[in-house]
Amino acid sequence: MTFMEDDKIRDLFRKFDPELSSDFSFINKLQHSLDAVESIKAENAELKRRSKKAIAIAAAAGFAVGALFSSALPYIGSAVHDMALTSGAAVQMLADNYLVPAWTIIGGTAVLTALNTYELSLSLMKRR
Amino acid sequence: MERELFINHIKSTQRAFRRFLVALCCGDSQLADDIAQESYIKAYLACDTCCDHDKFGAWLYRIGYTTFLNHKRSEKITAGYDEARHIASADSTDSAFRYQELYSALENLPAKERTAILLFYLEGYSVKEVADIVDASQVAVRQQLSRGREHLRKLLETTKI
Repeated sequence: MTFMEDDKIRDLFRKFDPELSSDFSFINKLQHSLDAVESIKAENAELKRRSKKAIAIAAAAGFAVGALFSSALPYIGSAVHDMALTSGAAVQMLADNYLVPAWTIIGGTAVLTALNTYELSLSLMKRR
Repeated sequence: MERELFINHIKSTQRAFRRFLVALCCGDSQLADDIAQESYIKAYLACDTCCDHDKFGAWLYRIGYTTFLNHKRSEKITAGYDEARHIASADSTDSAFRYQELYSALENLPAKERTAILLFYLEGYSVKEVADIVDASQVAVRQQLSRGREHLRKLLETTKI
Protein backbone atom coordinates (compact mmCIF):
# COMPACT_ATOMS: atom_id res chain seq x y z
CA MET A 1 0.00 0.00 0.00
CA THR A 2 1.61 3.21 -1.15
CA PHE A 3 0.99 6.61 0.39
CA MET A 4 -0.82 7.59 -2.80
CA GLU A 5 -3.29 4.72 -2.37
CA ASP A 6 -3.68 5.60 1.29
CA ASP A 7 -4.52 9.14 0.23
CA LYS A 8 -7.05 7.78 -2.25
CA ILE A 9 -8.84 5.96 0.58
CA ARG A 10 -8.76 9.08 2.73
CA ASP A 11 -10.13 11.06 -0.20
CA LEU A 12 -12.84 8.45 -0.78
CA PHE A 13 -14.11 8.89 2.77
CA ARG A 14 -13.60 12.64 2.81
CA LYS A 15 -16.13 12.91 0.00
CA PHE A 16 -18.51 10.50 1.72
CA ASP A 17 -21.70 12.41 2.49
CA PRO A 18 -24.72 10.08 2.28
CA GLU A 19 -28.27 11.36 2.30
CA LEU A 20 -29.62 11.10 5.84
CA SER A 21 -33.17 11.43 7.11
CA SER A 22 -34.06 14.90 8.42
CA ASP A 23 -32.29 15.97 11.61
CA PHE A 24 -35.54 17.34 12.99
CA SER A 25 -37.46 14.07 12.66
CA PHE A 26 -34.50 12.09 14.00
CA ILE A 27 -34.16 14.28 17.12
CA ASN A 28 -37.94 14.37 17.50
CA LYS A 29 -38.10 10.57 17.46
CA LEU A 30 -35.26 10.43 19.98
CA GLN A 31 -37.04 12.91 22.25
CA HIS A 32 -40.16 10.70 22.17
CA SER A 33 -38.09 7.63 23.01
CA LEU A 34 -36.40 9.49 25.87
CA ASP A 35 -39.83 10.56 27.16
CA ALA A 36 -40.85 6.89 27.20
CA VAL A 37 -37.58 5.98 28.94
CA GLU A 38 -38.15 8.72 31.54
CA SER A 39 -41.68 7.52 32.21
CA ILE A 40 -40.52 3.90 32.61
CA LYS A 41 -37.69 5.06 34.89
CA ALA A 42 -40.17 7.06 37.02
CA GLU A 43 -42.52 4.08 37.18
CA ASN A 44 -39.67 1.78 38.23
CA ALA A 45 -38.54 4.23 40.89
CA GLU A 46 -42.11 4.43 42.21
CA LEU A 47 -42.36 0.61 42.26
CA LYS A 48 -39.06 0.42 44.13
CA ARG A 49 -40.23 3.00 46.65
CA ARG A 50 -43.53 1.13 47.18
CA SER A 51 -41.70 -2.17 47.50
CA LYS A 52 -39.33 -0.72 50.14
CA LYS A 53 -42.27 0.68 52.07
CA ALA A 54 -44.10 -2.67 51.87
CA ILE A 55 -40.97 -4.51 53.07
CA ALA A 56 -40.71 -2.15 56.06
CA ILE A 57 -44.40 -2.62 56.95
CA ALA A 58 -44.13 -6.41 56.51
CA ALA A 59 -41.01 -6.60 58.70
CA ALA A 60 -42.73 -4.54 61.40
CA ALA A 61 -45.85 -6.72 61.25
CA GLY A 62 -43.78 -9.93 61.36
CA PHE A 63 -41.76 -8.62 64.28
CA ALA A 64 -44.90 -7.50 66.15
CA VAL A 65 -46.59 -10.90 65.74
CA GLY A 66 -43.37 -12.70 66.72
CA ALA A 67 -42.95 -10.50 69.81
CA LEU A 68 -46.61 -10.95 70.82
CA PHE A 69 -46.44 -14.74 70.61
CA SER A 70 -43.04 -14.81 72.31
CA SER A 71 -44.35 -12.80 75.23
CA ALA A 72 -47.25 -15.25 75.49
CA LEU A 73 -44.89 -18.26 75.51
CA PRO A 74 -44.60 -18.58 79.34
CA TYR A 75 -48.41 -18.62 79.63
CA ILE A 76 -48.62 -21.27 76.88
CA GLY A 77 -45.95 -23.28 78.75
CA SER A 78 -47.81 -23.23 82.02
CA ALA A 79 -51.08 -24.13 80.27
CA VAL A 80 -49.41 -27.13 78.63
CA HIS A 81 -47.95 -28.24 81.97
CA ASP A 82 -51.36 -27.93 83.62
CA MET A 83 -52.85 -30.04 80.88
CA ALA A 84 -50.09 -32.63 81.29
CA LEU A 85 -50.91 -33.13 84.96
CA THR A 86 -54.36 -34.40 84.09
CA SER A 87 -53.48 -36.19 80.83
CA GLY A 88 -51.52 -39.18 79.71
CA ALA A 89 -47.87 -39.86 78.99
CA ALA A 90 -48.00 -38.46 75.45
CA VAL A 91 -49.08 -35.00 76.61
CA GLN A 92 -46.54 -35.20 79.43
CA MET A 93 -43.77 -35.78 76.86
CA LEU A 94 -45.04 -32.85 74.80
CA ALA A 95 -45.07 -30.65 77.90
CA ASP A 96 -41.44 -31.50 78.60
CA ASN A 97 -40.34 -30.70 75.04
CA TYR A 98 -42.78 -27.96 74.03
CA LEU A 99 -40.17 -25.23 73.43
CA VAL A 100 -38.86 -26.36 70.03
CA PRO A 101 -42.28 -26.81 68.37
CA ALA A 102 -43.53 -23.62 70.05
CA TRP A 103 -40.66 -21.52 68.64
CA THR A 104 -41.11 -23.16 65.24
CA ILE A 105 -44.80 -22.23 65.24
CA ILE A 106 -44.01 -18.67 66.40
CA GLY A 107 -41.34 -18.27 63.69
CA GLY A 108 -43.61 -19.69 61.00
CA THR A 109 -46.49 -17.45 62.02
CA ALA A 110 -44.25 -14.37 62.02
CA VAL A 111 -42.91 -15.20 58.54
CA LEU A 112 -46.39 -15.91 57.15
CA THR A 113 -47.70 -12.68 58.63
CA ALA A 114 -44.80 -10.73 57.11
CA LEU A 115 -45.35 -12.28 53.66
CA ASN A 116 -49.08 -11.65 53.70
CA THR A 117 -48.62 -8.11 54.98
CA TYR A 118 -46.13 -7.45 52.16
CA GLU A 119 -48.60 -8.61 49.50
CA LEU A 120 -51.49 -6.77 51.15
CA SER A 121 -49.64 -3.46 51.55
CA LEU A 122 -48.34 -3.65 47.97
CA SER A 123 -51.85 -4.16 46.59
CA LEU A 124 -53.25 -1.39 48.80
CA MET A 125 -50.53 1.03 47.66
CA LYS A 126 -51.18 0.15 44.00
CA ARG A 127 -54.89 0.97 44.41
CA ARG A 128 -54.10 4.44 45.73
CA MET B 1 -25.53 14.26 32.41
CA GLU B 2 -28.80 16.15 32.24
CA ARG B 3 -31.23 15.58 29.41
CA GLU B 4 -30.89 19.06 27.91
CA LEU B 5 -27.11 18.78 27.88
CA PHE B 6 -27.35 15.30 26.38
CA ILE B 7 -29.72 16.45 23.61
CA ASN B 8 -27.55 19.46 22.82
CA HIS B 9 -24.52 17.22 22.55
CA ILE B 10 -26.44 14.82 20.30
CA LYS B 11 -27.69 17.64 18.09
CA SER B 12 -24.16 18.77 17.38
CA THR B 13 -22.70 15.32 16.74
CA GLN B 14 -25.51 13.14 15.39
CA ARG B 15 -24.82 13.68 11.67
CA ALA B 16 -21.27 12.33 11.90
CA PHE B 17 -22.43 9.40 14.00
CA ARG B 18 -25.27 8.55 11.60
CA ARG B 19 -22.96 8.89 8.60
CA PHE B 20 -20.59 6.38 10.26
CA LEU B 21 -23.48 4.00 10.90
CA VAL B 22 -24.79 4.31 7.33
CA ALA B 23 -21.34 3.26 6.09
CA LEU B 24 -21.16 0.49 8.70
CA CYS B 25 -24.58 -0.78 7.57
CA CYS B 26 -23.41 -0.57 3.95
CA GLY B 27 -25.96 2.06 2.91
CA ASP B 28 -28.98 0.84 4.84
CA SER B 29 -29.90 4.22 6.27
CA GLN B 30 -33.08 2.94 7.94
CA LEU B 31 -31.14 0.36 9.91
CA ALA B 32 -28.43 2.94 10.64
CA ASP B 33 -31.07 5.30 12.08
CA ASP B 34 -32.51 2.49 14.20
CA ILE B 35 -29.07 1.62 15.55
CA ALA B 36 -28.36 5.32 16.19
CA GLN B 37 -31.62 5.71 18.13
CA GLU B 38 -30.93 2.56 20.15
CA SER B 39 -27.35 3.65 20.84
CA TYR B 40 -28.46 7.08 22.04
CA ILE B 41 -31.02 5.57 24.39
CA LYS B 42 -28.41 3.16 25.76
CA ALA B 43 -26.00 6.08 26.15
CA TYR B 44 -28.66 8.17 27.91
CA LEU B 45 -29.41 5.35 30.34
CA ALA B 46 -25.72 4.79 31.08
CA CYS B 47 -24.35 8.32 30.71
CA ASP B 48 -23.72 8.56 34.45
CA THR B 49 -21.06 5.88 34.05
CA CYS B 50 -19.20 7.95 31.46
CA CYS B 51 -17.97 10.83 33.56
CA ASP B 52 -15.24 11.96 31.13
CA HIS B 53 -16.90 14.47 28.83
CA ASP B 54 -13.96 14.42 26.39
CA LYS B 55 -14.31 10.69 25.83
CA PHE B 56 -18.08 10.83 25.35
CA GLY B 57 -17.78 10.67 21.55
CA ALA B 58 -15.56 7.59 21.53
CA TRP B 59 -17.77 5.98 24.18
CA LEU B 60 -20.82 6.61 21.99
CA TYR B 61 -19.11 5.03 18.97
CA ARG B 62 -18.36 2.01 21.12
CA ILE B 63 -22.03 1.71 22.02
CA GLY B 64 -22.95 2.12 18.34
CA TYR B 65 -20.47 -0.58 17.33
CA THR B 66 -21.74 -3.10 19.92
CA THR B 67 -25.35 -2.30 19.02
CA PHE B 68 -24.49 -2.92 15.37
CA LEU B 69 -22.86 -6.25 16.28
CA ASN B 70 -25.96 -7.24 18.27
CA HIS B 71 -28.16 -6.45 15.27
CA LYS B 72 -25.81 -8.40 13.05
CA ARG B 73 -25.90 -11.36 15.40
CA SER B 74 -29.66 -11.35 15.41
CA GLU B 75 -29.37 -11.66 11.61
CA LYS B 76 -31.72 -8.79 10.96
CA ILE B 77 -28.94 -7.16 9.07
CA THR B 78 -28.18 -9.99 6.65
CA ALA B 79 -31.72 -10.12 5.41
CA GLY B 80 -31.77 -6.34 5.29
CA TYR B 81 -28.83 -5.75 2.95
CA ASP B 82 -30.44 -6.93 -0.23
CA GLU B 83 -33.84 -5.61 0.74
CA ALA B 84 -32.38 -2.18 1.45
CA ARG B 85 -30.59 -2.22 -1.84
CA HIS B 86 -33.83 -2.95 -3.66
CA ILE B 87 -35.60 -0.16 -1.80
CA ALA B 88 -32.75 2.16 -2.67
CA SER B 89 -33.01 1.09 -6.27
CA ALA B 90 -36.71 1.84 -6.22
CA ASP B 91 -35.91 5.37 -5.07
CA SER B 92 -33.66 5.59 -8.11
CA THR B 93 -32.10 8.87 -7.01
CA ASP B 94 -28.51 9.71 -7.89
CA SER B 95 -27.59 9.86 -4.21
CA ALA B 96 -28.86 6.31 -3.68
CA PHE B 97 -26.38 5.02 -6.27
CA ARG B 98 -23.56 7.44 -5.61
CA TYR B 99 -21.89 5.22 -3.02
CA GLN B 100 -23.05 1.84 -4.28
CA GLU B 101 -19.52 0.65 -5.14
CA LEU B 102 -18.24 1.83 -1.79
CA TYR B 103 -21.07 0.06 0.03
CA SER B 104 -20.41 -3.14 -1.93
CA ALA B 105 -16.74 -2.97 -1.02
CA LEU B 106 -17.54 -2.31 2.64
CA GLU B 107 -20.02 -5.18 2.64
CA ASN B 108 -17.23 -7.51 1.58
CA LEU B 109 -15.13 -6.49 4.56
CA PRO B 110 -15.60 -8.38 7.85
CA ALA B 111 -17.35 -6.24 10.48
CA LYS B 112 -14.16 -5.67 12.50
CA GLU B 113 -12.14 -4.50 9.50
CA ARG B 114 -15.00 -2.34 8.28
CA THR B 115 -15.35 -0.69 11.67
CA ALA B 116 -11.62 -0.10 11.99
CA ILE B 117 -11.42 1.39 8.49
CA LEU B 118 -14.43 3.66 9.06
CA LEU B 119 -13.32 4.87 12.47
CA PHE B 120 -9.82 5.54 11.21
CA TYR B 121 -10.52 7.06 7.78
CA LEU B 122 -14.05 8.42 8.10
CA GLU B 123 -14.04 9.62 11.71
CA GLY B 124 -10.34 10.32 12.02
CA TYR B 125 -9.73 8.38 15.23
CA SER B 126 -6.18 7.27 16.04
CA VAL B 127 -5.23 3.59 16.21
CA LYS B 128 -5.26 3.76 20.02
CA GLU B 129 -8.73 5.32 20.05
CA VAL B 130 -10.03 2.75 17.55
CA ALA B 131 -8.58 -0.01 19.74
CA ASP B 132 -10.43 1.43 22.74
CA ILE B 133 -13.70 1.68 20.82
CA VAL B 134 -13.67 -1.83 19.37
CA ASP B 135 -12.12 -3.30 22.53
CA ALA B 136 -9.10 -4.79 20.78
CA SER B 137 -5.32 -4.39 21.02
CA GLN B 138 -3.54 -1.78 18.91
CA VAL B 139 -1.70 -4.56 17.08
CA ALA B 140 -5.03 -6.19 16.15
CA VAL B 141 -6.41 -2.85 14.92
CA ARG B 142 -3.29 -2.25 12.80
CA GLN B 143 -3.78 -5.69 11.25
CA GLN B 144 -7.46 -4.99 10.61
CA LEU B 145 -6.58 -1.66 9.01
CA SER B 146 -3.92 -3.29 6.88
CA ARG B 147 -6.26 -6.03 5.67
CA GLY B 148 -9.09 -3.55 5.15
CA ARG B 149 -6.83 -1.26 3.11
CA GLU B 150 -5.79 -4.21 1.00
CA HIS B 151 -9.42 -5.06 0.27
CA LEU B 152 -10.20 -1.45 -0.58
CA ARG B 153 -7.12 -1.24 -2.76
CA LYS B 154 -8.57 -4.04 -4.89
CA LEU B 155 -11.79 -2.07 -5.11
CA LEU B 156 -9.89 1.02 -6.20
CA GLU B 157 -8.26 -1.01 -8.94
CA THR B 158 -11.48 -2.53 -10.23
CA THR B 159 -13.89 0.39 -9.99
CA LYS B 160 -11.47 3.32 -10.35
CA ILE B 161 -13.46 5.39 -7.86
